[in-house]
Order: sequence, then structure tokens, then C-alpha cells
Amino acid sequence: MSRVLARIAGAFEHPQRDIPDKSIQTVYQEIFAGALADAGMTADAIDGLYASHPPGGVVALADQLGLTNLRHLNSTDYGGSTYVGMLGDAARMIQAGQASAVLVIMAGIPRNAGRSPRVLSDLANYAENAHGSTLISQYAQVASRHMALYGTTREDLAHIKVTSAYHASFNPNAFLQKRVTVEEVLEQPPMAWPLHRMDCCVTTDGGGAYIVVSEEIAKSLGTNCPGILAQEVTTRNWANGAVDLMTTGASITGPRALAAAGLTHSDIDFASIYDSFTITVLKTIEDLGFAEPGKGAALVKDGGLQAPFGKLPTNTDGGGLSNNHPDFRGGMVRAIEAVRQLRGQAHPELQVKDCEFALVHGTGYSLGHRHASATAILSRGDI
Amino acid sequence: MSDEQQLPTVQVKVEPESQAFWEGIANGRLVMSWCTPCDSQVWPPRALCPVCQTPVAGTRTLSGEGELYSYSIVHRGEGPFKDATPYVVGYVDTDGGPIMMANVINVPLDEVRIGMRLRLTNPNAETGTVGARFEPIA
Repeated sequence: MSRVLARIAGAFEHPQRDIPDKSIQTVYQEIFAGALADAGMTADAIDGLYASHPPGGVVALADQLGLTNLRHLNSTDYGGSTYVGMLGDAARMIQAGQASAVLVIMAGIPRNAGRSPRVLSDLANYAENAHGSTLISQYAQVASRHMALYGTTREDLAHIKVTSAYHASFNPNAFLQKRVTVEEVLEQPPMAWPLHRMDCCVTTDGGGAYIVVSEEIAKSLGTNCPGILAQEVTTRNWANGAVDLMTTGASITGPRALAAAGLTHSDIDFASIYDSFTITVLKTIEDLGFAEPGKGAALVKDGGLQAPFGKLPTNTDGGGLSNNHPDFRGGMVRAIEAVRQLRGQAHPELQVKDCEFALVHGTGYSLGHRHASATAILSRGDI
Repeated sequence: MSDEQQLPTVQVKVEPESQAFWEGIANGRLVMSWCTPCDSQVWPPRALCPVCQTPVAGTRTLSGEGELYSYSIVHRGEGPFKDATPYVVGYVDTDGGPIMMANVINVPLDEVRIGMRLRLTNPNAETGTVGARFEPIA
């Protein structure tokens, strides 16, 4: 199909969530080995390396992974949404004939070694520091205004965590595998009101990778390789004082990506929605256009995001809220779960039937101050 | 109650382009970098207007009043704010100016409301040691 820009041959999520006994380099190597095995490829076939923030940068990572045939490097970093953006970056580079097999990889062990250094750690954050603003409090202000404008409640947000925990109960690798009730979510201590503990994602070690290949290589592998149809990215910020917490970058990237893929919302069978916090999901599904502004609560209540029968089956691995948010970055795992659904490899209880099209959305940095939004549209391997 | 004494002082990195703003904040005045060609605030303070790229030549002192656009009650503070919890961090939609990050003080936490009228307080502090602190207009 001509709409397919490139295909995803291998995808691998590191099975561990707490890694006290391995170096970060070893975790990168294990992820690479897992992705190659999943793709049925060998290291010499990799000619593109995309990594946001490996120790020593991409040049050191190429050395560590034994990559000797590289002709394309990319170390773009815009936080957790980076790996949703890189789906498109890799696909377009392959379309242009500049690469044929691109490894996109990330890892971190923050539980044991602290947060990996970021490219844009503390630039111009003087306002945050002066006011005691925290990352959670920034997302909390999106929730707070949503509540004031639309009557959204903490209970509405709790349904997002309840569905996430239900999905994670089928995932033997998930960091949190216990199902929870709305009441249990509401009873948690506040972190930054209105967000309480279970409104927040887990902190995990690990990471993941996927390999984007040309149509030609996908055919030669003879495996199930989902297609990349479209991808869009943008940023939102304080806009010279015209702050608008009710319009995230998803309102731009979602419609653009769907249009580029030639699809509408009703074509999407599965959604991987970045869930750093419960409010991240609520706001994103509204801005992507799956719900009217302010009406997201109606969609997330009573199993709307639950697979396989909800209106919009979402984050069937348990998402960042319950499964995995390695190195404080969720976009890679969101992409990998979409690949599983499109291949029919999700847990049988949660596999969406005839899953043809998936939408992956990433939100990097801070929704309440400055953030990067990336949306990708993927298709099943046989179309 | 979240009063002024509970919020810690910090050391903000004051740059030439933000000197007037932080000096104002420390003395209870809302002094905005102002772009003459755009007749608009430049927020956060910058040497060049982000809209027209003209060097910013002047400032405008606003009333220091506004309304609360959004807020959160922080229970897990970081750095100097670790022991200041719970406290309010919010965005204030200032009259004739930007929607800006601020703390809301001198109000019981359960009486904070989006849309409430606020005014900048005067902390009588050293420049670059306090953020913008607003309190309800009685």
C-alpha cells in the first residue's frame, strides 16, 4: 500500500522494571538484542541509530552496541514523546533512501542510578524555581482548570487509573499488577492537588527499542511488520503570556496525522495515549478529537478505554500509570504496545479484534508550561 | 492558611533582561518588559520581543491585580520548598498583562478558587529571592 512510509520489523520492551545489578550499557545491549531477535535481523543490517540521551551520546552507543554500518544518526530529544516522533523521522529517512534499517532505542535505570542527564534539563526554569512549581503541579493545573470549566471530578480521572490497573493485571512484567477501585484511587495521598498518588505514573528502570525498515527488508524478513502511515510533532508553551492550558499540542498533531494517513477517528481501533498522569490522558483524547472539549470524562468512565470492547481501547499493557515509564519517558513503550496490538500479540483477553489501525500519542516535558506533542498513525502488517 | 512566612526565599538567576521584573516583584510592583512596536508585554522577560524580534527598550508597570487562571496545592515540594507544603502555585491572569506563574498566599487553602480576584503583595525582599506572591482582594 503506497500510504505506508516504512515498517516496524522488531519491537522489544525490556522485561525488568527494577534493575539493581546491571549497568545502563548492559540494559541498552539487552534491549538491542531483544529487538534484533524479534525482527529476525542481525546487527550488521542496522544502518541508522536514533537515541535521545544515551550515556556518551549516540557515538558511544554505536560503539557499545557494535554497530559498524551506520550512515544515519539522530539524537533529537524532546522528552518522553521523542520516540513517537522518531517513528516518523525514521520512516521519512527510509523513504528518502538515506537508511534502510533504523534502530530507535532508549533506556534508563532511575530507580538505581538516578535520572539520566537530559539535553534540556534546567534551561530558563527560573520561574518554576522561584515559585516552588513541580512537574506534577504543572499537570495538576491542567486538571484543576478542566474541573473548574467543565465540572470534571477526581472520580472521573480515577477511572483512567482503574482501567490502566485492570489492563496491567494481565501483564506479568507490569510494575503494578493489582487491580484498583475508584475509591482506592481517591483515598491516595495528594501529590499536587487535584492529582493524588495513583494519578501519577510509575518510576521504572528499563526501556525499549523498535527497528524501522524499508518495504523491501520487511518483505525479505517475512514477519509481521506494522506500517507507519503518518507522524506529526509540535510544541506548546507560555506563548508570550497567552497561556492556554486547555489546548495541548495534540489538538494540532492529532488532526494533521489522521489527515495525512487518510483516516478518521472511527478508523482507529486502538490508541496508545501517553499517560504520565491521568489528566494527560483525559486532555489528550479530547484534543486528538476522540471526545468534545470538556466531554472526555464521559468517554473514560465505565470502561470506555478498556479493551477489547471499550469505545477506544487504550494502553492495554497497563501504560505508564501501571506498567512501565522507563527513565521518566513513556513514548517508547506506547509505540511498542501499538505494535503488539497490530500484530495480534497483545494479551488474548485484551487483544482488539481485527486491529487494523492504531494511534500513538506522546507528551514530552510539562503540559502546564512547555511540552512537545507527537502523534503517529500505524497500520497492520498486511495492509 | 498559607501565609507569606511559610514560603521560602530562593536565589533566582537575575539576568540583565529580567532585572526590572525581579526588582519590581521584590518591591510589590509588577514591572513588565514591554515591546513598543507590538504594544505588548514580553513574557517571560527577554532582550528581544519574541513576536517582532525588536530589542526591548522599555517597561510598563501594571496594576498588579488579576484573577486566578488555575492552581494546584503542592503537597510534595522540592528543593527550598520541600518543607513549605502545602502551598499554592498557580497562574494569574494579570490585568493588561500576561498569564503568569505565581504563588497565592494569605488565604485558607479550601477558599482558593479559579476566577478569584488577586493582587500582588509586597514582600520587601531582596531582588531575586522571592517569586510573584498574590493575595485575595478583600
